[in-house]
Amino acid sequence: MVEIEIDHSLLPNSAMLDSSVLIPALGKKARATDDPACAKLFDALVADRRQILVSTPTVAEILRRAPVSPLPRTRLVRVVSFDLAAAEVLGQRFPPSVLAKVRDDTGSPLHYIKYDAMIVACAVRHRADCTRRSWSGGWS
Amino acid sequence: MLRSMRERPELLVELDGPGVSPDTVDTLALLTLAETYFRLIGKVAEASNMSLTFQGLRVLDKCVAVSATPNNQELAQLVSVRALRIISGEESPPRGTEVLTSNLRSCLRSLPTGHVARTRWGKRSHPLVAPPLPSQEHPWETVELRVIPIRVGGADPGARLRSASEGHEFTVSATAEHARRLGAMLYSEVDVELEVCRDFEGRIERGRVLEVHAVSDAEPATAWRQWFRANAPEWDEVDDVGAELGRDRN
Repeated sequence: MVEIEIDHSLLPNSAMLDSSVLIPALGKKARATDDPACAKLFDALVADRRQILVSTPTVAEILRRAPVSPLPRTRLVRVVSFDLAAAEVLGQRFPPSVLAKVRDDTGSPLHYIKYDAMIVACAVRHRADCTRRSWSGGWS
Repeated sequence: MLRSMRERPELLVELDGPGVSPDTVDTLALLTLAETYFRLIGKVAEASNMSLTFQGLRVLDKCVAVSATPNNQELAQLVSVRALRIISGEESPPRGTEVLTSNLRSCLRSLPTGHVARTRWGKRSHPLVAPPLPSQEHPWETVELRVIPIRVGGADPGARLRSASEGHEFTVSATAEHARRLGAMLYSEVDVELEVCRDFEGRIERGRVLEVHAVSDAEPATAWRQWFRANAPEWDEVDDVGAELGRDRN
């Protein structure tokens, strides 16, 4: 198993984590086998007292049925809504023409690109320093 | 005399209008406009992790212009073009430039009718235009924010709040009960549901507290993993999270 080391000096002050990072970071199986870097990143951000942002579209992706308990309200992890200001960011920076171009360039389905754009709009609106997502090809 | 910009590249802020001359110009209006503009240019550069300073000062005749020489000409040109978009509302002000942008727009809006402010780099002149103020009342919206109460009190209870999600501190009204709860959490993080109204620049100009939610002292990673285990155990059966989310690009 590859040992993963996080360079704490490179951690941002605040980071928006999307579902592709958060699910492996929190899920037991994924933590062990899928992408252990996600759990390491989550734990390193908390240990260094950096802010983790989780957008409501990400929560919608995580939940697959009615929740049995409310989201934790803890320090260092901030759930941020896709609100009116985020919708304005989305409209300004990710109009349909931009989303269609990303679809054409990447081959990803439009619904996924739109979801990602909503998450990034939340990150911009709530002033995250960076957004982190992972996929089979690597990190962004 | 206006010297050739090729000899000495300068960034100018000029004011033009009926009867405007160095003898008649409103001194404070011109100086405030120029100061705010040059400070904004420096701050916009700073937002991109670059340094831009100005030296020298000349007051030029014709219309009336104040000019200064930047330490980095190419950067000054780039930033001045970006600043035009920010001032006109075409682009959102970067973090740290909101107040200066708002102040500059106020300067521009307060110019007498018929007066025009411009910026000039070399032979290129661009009008400085503030976005129009909407005539209709701004819409109200409901937001939930993590905030730090800075001040709470008053005969009509209110709370001064700071939030990482907003570029500025703001004041909202509150019921006595909400004010008591916020007052007990001064300088601590707390989640609040608010009904707010924003000005044109997107700053919260008024609002009221709808609900207050305490932030737990629980260890974040433990609390979130417990929540995940209780609410989303299905993901432990998923072999490829990316593919399940519809994000696999292969």
